[in-house]
Amino acid sequence: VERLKSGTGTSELSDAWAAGRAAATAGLEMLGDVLPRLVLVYTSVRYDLTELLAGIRSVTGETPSAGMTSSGHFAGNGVTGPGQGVAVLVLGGGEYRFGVASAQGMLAEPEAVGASLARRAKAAAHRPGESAGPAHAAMLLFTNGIGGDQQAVITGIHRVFGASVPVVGGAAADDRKMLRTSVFCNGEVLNDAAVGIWIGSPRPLSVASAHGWMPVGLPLLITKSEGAVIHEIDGRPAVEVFNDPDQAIYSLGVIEPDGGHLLRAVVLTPNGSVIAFTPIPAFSAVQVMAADPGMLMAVVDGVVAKSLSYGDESVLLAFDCVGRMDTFGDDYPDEIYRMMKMAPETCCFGCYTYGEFARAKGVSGVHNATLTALAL
Amino acid sequence: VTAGAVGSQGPGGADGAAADEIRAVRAQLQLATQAAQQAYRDSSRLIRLLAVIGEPAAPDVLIDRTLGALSEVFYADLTCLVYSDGDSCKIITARGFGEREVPRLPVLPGAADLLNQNRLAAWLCPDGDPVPEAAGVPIRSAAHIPLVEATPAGEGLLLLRSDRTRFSPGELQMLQSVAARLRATLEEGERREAIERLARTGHQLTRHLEIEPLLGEALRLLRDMTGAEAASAVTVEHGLASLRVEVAARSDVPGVWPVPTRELLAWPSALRGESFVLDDMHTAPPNSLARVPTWVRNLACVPVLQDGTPIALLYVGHSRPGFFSRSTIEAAAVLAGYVGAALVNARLYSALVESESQLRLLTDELRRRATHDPLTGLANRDLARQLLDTSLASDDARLVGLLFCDLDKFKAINDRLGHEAGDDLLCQVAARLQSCVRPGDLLARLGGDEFLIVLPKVIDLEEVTKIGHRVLATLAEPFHLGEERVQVAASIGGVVGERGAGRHQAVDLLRDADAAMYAAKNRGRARVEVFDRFTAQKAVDYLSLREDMLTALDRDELEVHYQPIVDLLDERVIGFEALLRWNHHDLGSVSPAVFIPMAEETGAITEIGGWVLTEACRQLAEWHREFEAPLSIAVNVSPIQLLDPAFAEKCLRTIEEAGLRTGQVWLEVTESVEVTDQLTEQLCQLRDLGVRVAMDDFGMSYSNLGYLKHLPVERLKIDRTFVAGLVQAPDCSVRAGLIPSQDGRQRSAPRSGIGMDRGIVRAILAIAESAGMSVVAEGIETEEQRRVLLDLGCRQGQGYLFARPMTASAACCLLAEADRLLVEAAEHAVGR
Repeated sequence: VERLKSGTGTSELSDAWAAGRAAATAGLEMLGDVLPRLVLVYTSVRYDLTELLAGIRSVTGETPSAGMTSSGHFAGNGVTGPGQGVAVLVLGGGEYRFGVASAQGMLAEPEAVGASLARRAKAAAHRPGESAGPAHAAMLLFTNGIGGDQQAVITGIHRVFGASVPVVGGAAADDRKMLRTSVFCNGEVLNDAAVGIWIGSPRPLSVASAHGWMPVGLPLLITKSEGAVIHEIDGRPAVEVFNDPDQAIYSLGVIEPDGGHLLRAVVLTPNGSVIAFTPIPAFSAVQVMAADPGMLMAVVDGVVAKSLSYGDESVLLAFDCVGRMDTFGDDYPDEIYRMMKMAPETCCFGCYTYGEFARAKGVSGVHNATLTALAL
Repeated sequence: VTAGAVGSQGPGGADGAAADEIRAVRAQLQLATQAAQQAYRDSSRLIRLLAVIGEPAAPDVLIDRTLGALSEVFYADLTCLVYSDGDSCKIITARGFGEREVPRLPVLPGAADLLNQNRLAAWLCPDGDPVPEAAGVPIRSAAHIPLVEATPAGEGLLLLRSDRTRFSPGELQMLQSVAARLRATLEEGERREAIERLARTGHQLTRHLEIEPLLGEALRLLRDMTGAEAASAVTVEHGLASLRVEVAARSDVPGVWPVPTRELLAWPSALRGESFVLDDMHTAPPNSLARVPTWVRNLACVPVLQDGTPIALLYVGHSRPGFFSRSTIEAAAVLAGYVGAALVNARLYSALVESESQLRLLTDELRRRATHDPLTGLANRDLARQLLDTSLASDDARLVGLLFCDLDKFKAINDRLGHEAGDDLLCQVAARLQSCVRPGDLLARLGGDEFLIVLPKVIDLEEVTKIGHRVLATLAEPFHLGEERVQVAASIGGVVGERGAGRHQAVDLLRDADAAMYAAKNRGRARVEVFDRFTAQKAVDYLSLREDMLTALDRDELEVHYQPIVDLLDERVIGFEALLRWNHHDLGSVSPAVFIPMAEETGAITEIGGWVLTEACRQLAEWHREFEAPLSIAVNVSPIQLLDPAFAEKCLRTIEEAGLRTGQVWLEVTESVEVTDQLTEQLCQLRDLGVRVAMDDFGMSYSNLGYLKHLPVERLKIDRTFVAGLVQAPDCSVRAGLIPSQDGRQRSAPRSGIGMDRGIVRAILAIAESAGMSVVAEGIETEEQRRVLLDLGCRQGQGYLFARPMTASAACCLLAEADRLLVEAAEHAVGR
């Protein structure tokens, strides 16, 4: 398989247009003579986003592009914290095929949004006159990060593509402000929307994910919940399960069919209710989870190794949770440096999100406090 | 002390023994935790699946949801509903194949018949064998669970995994119970759906008076209801059966008709009045194959009976074995009952044509059937209307009365106890109502649970009311339905019609009585509500205005007006309150007191409220661009809007899209709003984002300080009635009764003295100050009121004294004028 070529650029200029243009110019320069075929953008919400995208497109032109707002990002060999700048990845060459599409209305009809962007992203990659496209595929997905059922978007994609197309990506973030996130599609800034990039491939693609958290104590059953609010666990007020009054954010692990845990971050509000970042249905079996930086760091090697299953991949697209960043504290870049060290021949490009996507088995694919990745 | 720490002190001795013990306990604990994990996970899965199955849904949606949940909780990449008949296995519906792929099943090495047999089985790909593939997914593990066990053919769940993880006996057991529950729910759903469809369409059969078209229509309904691919109808006379009609039979076997009934396979069942089903023709005795097309695998027959004897047989066929469920055939048997009744009608008609002598008898019978309700024997709508028309046309000094009765919650009883019990109840109700009517009155059933009483000679509305109450009283005793005792009430609407010149039409009376009945229902059921001509007209007008309200926004009839909120000291405009106006295309301006409740009732307020906020924000942004004054906008929010969980998000989006800062927008909620968690949450969310909340009409209703504690209120608006009461009003009526207010709403003024109103205003200002809230006084009309308010310490207000609500352009002029005065004053100051 011919290797994919990539170029990355970042900028922290204060003017939105100038920052976008600078990051994209650096990315294109690194790509050299290769024709760009896909542009990915992660940015802080500090910018006027329309201006920023116009700055990028002033150099990348009509090349299909997608992206989202984030809470920090990493590109090439640098890590940028929340609230600072923009990162651009330009891809060209190689044997992959890309199709970009977006759909709006995530709050009202998330499953229809997923189905619609799946169909249209694939159609966008179709070459006229061609009967059969690439044999394998994956879907890169960026969704609105606040409000809207992200799992339903993935369910919609699954309905259209079926089990053979894995999904990877993340929910947009906003430098931890929790006010408003955006996704980008071909120069447009969208809210209440999701963007999908269909990736056609000559060989099977697989997504990797891991969190490193370990269960503490016995399993519990969520006995009463309404949407994101968890009222009771094991028949007791949910808040009683969490015993450290100073800690605001906890993780619950939903016990999976294979005995593993699907991470769900929860916050305790001052009025005693417990709110999950991603809704957990009533009667889910859960365990309280705990982690320290060492445990979180320990999963990085595995995620990288699983992603680089062929050994000749040139780009590693990673999605890391802002919650992990918090646990690492000031040393958070170490995790990314570790990733870069484990994949020395590969360009690492990723960002910090409000929810990480990795759908490989079954229908569910939304994770919290997790690291997910796909290598091309 | 951790096991590791103890162990590090070295093996042997007492420490070593303790360490071993701790290690052993730890190991046991880990095993126990694992066991608990598994037990919790399994109950969680089962509850999850049963919850999905228990949620009401159409059968195809139910299956789809179940397949999705199975995929999730069992890590199955592909999940399907399949049909296995011993020779083959076909996918009926599936998840995980994607929409382009035609779902195809793989051949599982070493288990060729695992899928084809309708039995419980699990499979694991043998080591070293090539891994089969389906929909681009390698298949390494599978489980097949029949929905009904111990039948050679039938539907089943098929779960396929890409992981080489065997389905454990525990998992299979769980899947079996899920399959059984799914089957039961599907059957119940299918039965209900078929019966409902039948109830909607079955009666259409009776309009046919000739046998062939009647049977044709019956077969069409039957196919629609059962999903059959072919259907035919055979009639029976003098021991011979004749094929009368067939639909889509694609017959490929010669059939000779008529045949003696004893040759029909279904005949013995028909004689017993029972349906007959052959699940698979391939396993049926050879003599059953005569006259049945070879492609038909599943055959079913329901008899049409007259007085217990079969007079016709309805057949349905399908190419898939086991296609017709028991519940579908039960519904088909109900249809056969309708066909029986209609056939009798049709035969009567044929006989009528044949026999002159029976003409009158049969005509009467037909007329009776045409004018009476078949269930209760009461008059039907047509007959009631005829009587109304004749009564209104006759010359009599008295009036014509009409009562419209609708049983309350009849549907619930019908759903709970079944249709037969429902029919029984209607007959019992009819009998009791009959006891309420006088000679000359007419009781009719309009259909469903609606009854009508025509009173051709009444003195006045009071007489009608009296009979209405008599009806209520007669229904008060419980009804006996089998073992059950049920309580039924009715909502009753009554009207009277005038005869002679300018007389009522029957259609008007029916419409007005219906409106009165709805008024009774709205006021709490089990009531009698009577309308005179004026009230009836008002009710009808109200309904038509309500209809118009729904399209007012589309017709561009709504407009936002703005009333300035000013600094009471210098009359400087600090903001505006946005007020909605409706210019009706025929009626002109409609009062908000009339149309706002309508918009709330119909739910139109959600869209309209959103529109007002958008308009107001856009307008404010425009003023910000043109004028320097730091203005804010206040927008009223209806309690109905707050029920929308996305309200806060929508608000925020509107404000941002207009380019405003959230702090420039005030949302005004009224005190009458019930404080729910959801409401508090929405408002707190908005407040956290910077949007500001004001309490409108403060002091008027609940006057509950707890209110202020729960809601994130930053401003109180003193109701106009208190402002009006601050000084002696020139017109004393204002003090005593209804106050026509500036915004067109009317409200009752409390009977209080000046001192009391001042006291209240002072108290409100004190509350506001202690809670750090601002205060705006509403409805300031006189200079004296302004002065008193300033004396009491109130700094902001609105009212006619300063400005009436005005159009956006008028408000613009006002702002321009203020700007001009400001510049002049500045120049003047500089000049001096």
